[in-house]
Amino acid sequence: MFKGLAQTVYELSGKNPYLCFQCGICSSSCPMIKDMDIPPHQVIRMIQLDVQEVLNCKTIWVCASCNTCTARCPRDVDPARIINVLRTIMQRKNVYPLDLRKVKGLDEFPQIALISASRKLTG
Amino acid sequence: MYYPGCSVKDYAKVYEETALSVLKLFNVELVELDRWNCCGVVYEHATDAIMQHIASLRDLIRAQEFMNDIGDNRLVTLCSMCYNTLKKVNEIVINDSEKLKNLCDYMDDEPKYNCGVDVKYILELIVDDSIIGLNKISSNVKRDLKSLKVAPFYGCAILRPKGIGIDDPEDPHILSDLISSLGAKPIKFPYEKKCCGSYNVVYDRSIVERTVSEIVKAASRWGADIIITTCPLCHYNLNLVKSKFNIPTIYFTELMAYALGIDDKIPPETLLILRSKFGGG
Repeated sequence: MFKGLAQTVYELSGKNPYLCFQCGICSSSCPMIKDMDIPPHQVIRMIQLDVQEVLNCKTIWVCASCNTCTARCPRDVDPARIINVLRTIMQRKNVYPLDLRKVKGLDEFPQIALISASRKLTG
Repeated sequence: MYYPGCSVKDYAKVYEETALSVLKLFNVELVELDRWNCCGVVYEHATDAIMQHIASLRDLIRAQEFMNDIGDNRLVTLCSMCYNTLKKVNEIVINDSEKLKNLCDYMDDEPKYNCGVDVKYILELIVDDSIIGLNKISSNVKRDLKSLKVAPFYGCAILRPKGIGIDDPEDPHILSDLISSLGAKPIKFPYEKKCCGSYNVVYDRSIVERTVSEIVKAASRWGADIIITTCPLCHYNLNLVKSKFNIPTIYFTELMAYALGIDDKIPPETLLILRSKFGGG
């Protein structure tokens, strides 16, 4: 149906990145935006333009899947799901940002933090 | 049926104790599953990664085995992230018979899942008039809390995504209604449904400290004495900055237990907080 990254994203997420018309409501709603290098609407644009470098951005790891963007997206693009799929693509290449062995004071965290962090941020 | 999950049995033990004792006061008994495992928290978005649903599906199968013994198909969770994960996986397998078949074939030592379990969040039981209902709660309140200003913090997992959330994702009111029914004053503040930063606390604490500071600062500006939440992870994150703004975060069931006079289950530090915020007691 599509080519390149857009096709991979479509296959993995079931969502069509080309529906995005860059209104930016995802980025303006995002609680994590201050810690992102590329705002969510630009991530979607880079997928549309098949810019592979988007896979190396910090944004895909900082997103906490809070689904605020998804709840507000007027085109049902589901940015949270798409960003998560980019994360999955990298995890499957064995690239991820967190090494739990290097985290200090692991036993102080609630269990739920450790489990979700290992699911989302490790291989 | 009751699915506790890992955090509720350890980090958030007080959430479980207060929740169960509040429900008991209204003659609602949660029967814990005789066997359960991790819910496999944070449901998988990638459509081909069905392996990630196995943990949740195994719990749903446990519930299916158990529901005939107790004659009720509702599976209640306290942890909002467990609720989100189990409910989503239940929805996925109900709507996608091929995925369900693949998962069941893989777990060939388990009975087949027949999609009969109904995943519920504890707040749904509390506000449901046929089970407890807010009127029944108000008539059982033992303490006068009208000078206590409480900010509700919903978090993400019980509001989003659509179909999973138990309330309006943009304008939730379930916790404010509960606060009013307990006789306290609910604070409407703009960050009540904002994400706390979640598991990023393990990755980079500064990210979460920034987000929770924004949230707690807003609650303070809107005049809140305390914040109530539904999620063990929000509880942990928001309390990272409690001394900075002098606003502690407690579970909503702790506030309920306090209002209803079930003091023996409330940890001394929460009692101390509530009494200091609210003179007398």
